[in-house]
Amino acid sequence: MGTATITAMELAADERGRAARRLVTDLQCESVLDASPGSGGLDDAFHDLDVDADTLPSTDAVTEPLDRKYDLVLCIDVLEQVPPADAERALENLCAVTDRVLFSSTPFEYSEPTLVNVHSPEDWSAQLARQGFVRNVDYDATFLTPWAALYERSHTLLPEVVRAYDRAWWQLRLEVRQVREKLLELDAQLEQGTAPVADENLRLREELLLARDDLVGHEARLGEALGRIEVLEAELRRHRDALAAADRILASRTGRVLRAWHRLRALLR
Amino acid sequence: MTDTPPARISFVVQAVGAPAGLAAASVESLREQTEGDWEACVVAGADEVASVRAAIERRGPDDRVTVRSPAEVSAPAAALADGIASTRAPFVAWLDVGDRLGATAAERVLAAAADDVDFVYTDEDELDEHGARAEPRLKPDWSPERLLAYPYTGRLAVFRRTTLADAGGIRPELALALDHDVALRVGERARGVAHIAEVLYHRRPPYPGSTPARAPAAELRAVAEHLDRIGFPATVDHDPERPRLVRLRPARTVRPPVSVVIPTRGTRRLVHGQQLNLVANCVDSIVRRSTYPDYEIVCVVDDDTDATARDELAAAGGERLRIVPYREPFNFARKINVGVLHARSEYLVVLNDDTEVITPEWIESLLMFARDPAVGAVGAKLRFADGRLQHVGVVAVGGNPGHPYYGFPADFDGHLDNARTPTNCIAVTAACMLTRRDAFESVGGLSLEFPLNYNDVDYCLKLLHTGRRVVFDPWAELFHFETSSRETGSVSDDELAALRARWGRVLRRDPYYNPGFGGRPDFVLPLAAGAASAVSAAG
Repeated sequence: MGTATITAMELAADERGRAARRLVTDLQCESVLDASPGSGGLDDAFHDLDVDADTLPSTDAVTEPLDRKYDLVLCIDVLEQVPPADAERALENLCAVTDRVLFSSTPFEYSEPTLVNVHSPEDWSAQLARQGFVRNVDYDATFLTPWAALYERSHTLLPEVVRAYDRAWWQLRLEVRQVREKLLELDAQLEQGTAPVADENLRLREELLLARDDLVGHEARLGEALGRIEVLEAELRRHRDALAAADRILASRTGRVLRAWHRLRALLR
Repeated sequence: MTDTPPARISFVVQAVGAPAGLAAASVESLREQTEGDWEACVVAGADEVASVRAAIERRGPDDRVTVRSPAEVSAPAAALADGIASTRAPFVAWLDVGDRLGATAAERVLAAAADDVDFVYTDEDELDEHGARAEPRLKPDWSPERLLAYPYTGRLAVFRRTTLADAGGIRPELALALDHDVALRVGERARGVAHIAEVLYHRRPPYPGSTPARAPAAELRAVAEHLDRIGFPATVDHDPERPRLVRLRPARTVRPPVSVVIPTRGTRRLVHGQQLNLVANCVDSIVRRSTYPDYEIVCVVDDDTDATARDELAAAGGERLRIVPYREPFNFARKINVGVLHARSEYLVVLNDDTEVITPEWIESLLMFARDPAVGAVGAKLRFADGRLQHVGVVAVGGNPGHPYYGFPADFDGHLDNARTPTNCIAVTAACMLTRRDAFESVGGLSLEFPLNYNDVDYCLKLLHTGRRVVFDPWAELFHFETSSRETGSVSDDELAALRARWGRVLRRDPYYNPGFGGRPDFVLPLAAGAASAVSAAG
């Protein structure tokens, strides 16, 4: 039998101490069996708290009968590594030596080859129910893993079990509803908050359009002006050329004769 | 004795199988050129060489002219290729046997053939049996989209020899679409194309045994291969109504989202004999008739539009419709800009609310031209309610933008079929115009200097100014109930003055409107009376 590559109980030393303290405080347990060989020294943390704690030497040992009782049995990230038939016997063994089992088994790691017995939490709840153990719906064990739960030997009648489950279900439903309402409220606030930003975005983009139109318009008018200048300069050149030609004629012999003739004609008048 | 300067143009006359006198007539027109830097090669059959040479030398020898026979008897196009290969000048052109050049053709061409010009073409006409000139073909300046479906460049076409060779030269298998095929291929790679707006080429009348110059099947192939080469998203077909013409059909490969932007104030008018909510009718026609799958309709609606009109619009547009309220004083240009700012697509159709879709593939058709980033805007063919022409592009004559063929019969083809085939023009009306968002934003959208009129002309001129082209698409057809969209038909003098202040030079010399029409009233593209008042699409 192999071991899981990653377990929820691979906790740092201070985290192990904190988890053990919380369990001892919450559940007032004086003796603990840690049936999780991979928990990495949780029994030491219990010993530090003067709790009578034992640890199973290996995962295989979980299928062997046990010879004493405990206030609490920890079965964390173990049974998903045990073949289904052995897992049932293991649960029988564990439940036989205690009235409280803190149970956790990953419901997701189907692709991990060493995990041969992965089930959803409700499947484990059903198996534990066959041993007479029912989930304590008031105890939140998710500080260990998101799917950890405390199971207790139950002598309660079925209606009371249903009542307890229904109470928990109702509380969760109420919580979900309130959270959803709050989300909608936040969403509306967000929209209100972003509306001015969207308006500002539109305003800026429109302003950009205006600026670009202005630029192209100026370029166009500049082109027009340059064209006009070109035309006027060409006209001016023609005038200058004509004037120069006239000057040349006036300075020539013909021009001098012409001017003399004009003067003579003026005198004759 | 002076050295003859090296020729700058080679003229090739393909005269295989033609009467010798025709070849002599073509050469005669060369010898009359005012510019002498040319050489000519007449290609004749082996048994025709002597008679052709004799006919040419009847007016004396000319060492610029050679007469040769191809080594093998081959197809006319192969003979032409043989003639081209035997010449050396940097520019080359060819004449059909018997065709004549105007006396200044070589001079004008060489003046236009600047260092970066690889293709020069001129206007042309036809000679009747008595030598009288008729049927002038007055052409626009370089128009790539015009050339797509119509071989408008025709003759005289002069190509830089190296560019012609790079483009693959003469392809004998496309002999019956020779001019179109070569113009398309050279046009793809030419650095510059110059048009000389003078009739400098005269086609002779057909002689017994002469082959037709064009065949539709060859033209389809030439165009189809061109579309493949440039990645134009269309297939090629004959125009079912005019089988002599090519028609492009939009490919259904890429269909980007399109936003149709319609400014409106919920006006009701009498259309098709019914009192209609114009915008609801327009939107209804889009939704019911359009085949394009991915579009939204953004209506920019005046705030004081009545609730009934809004309800009718909402019912017509369904889930495709988004309404953008407009609370500012009326300004058509600004309403369009606001609509575009709210639109989500990269391709935008600006549409008047007094239009109605006719052709189901109108968006696909406009889009196939606009996929080219060098095309800034594409306009549709718009018709009055009775089918008469309202818009086939905008031309500028004497500084005034106007609509050619305004009110002409529905099936009018136009000069060189320019009402029936795509053309490049200086502007299209924003009554229906597809444009790219990047182009729209880069030139600042529609200018607020033109709140009602000429904003579309100004917009298109801005696109031209930034190096883009504007295209009229004859295959996207819509009704435009223009008279019903205007409160008055008057145009503000201020807006026209502002337009001229920006674009006076272009308006005085529209590159796509041949100045030859101005001096020859018989061929002037007719403009509607008061053309200046008929341009803008403001609604």
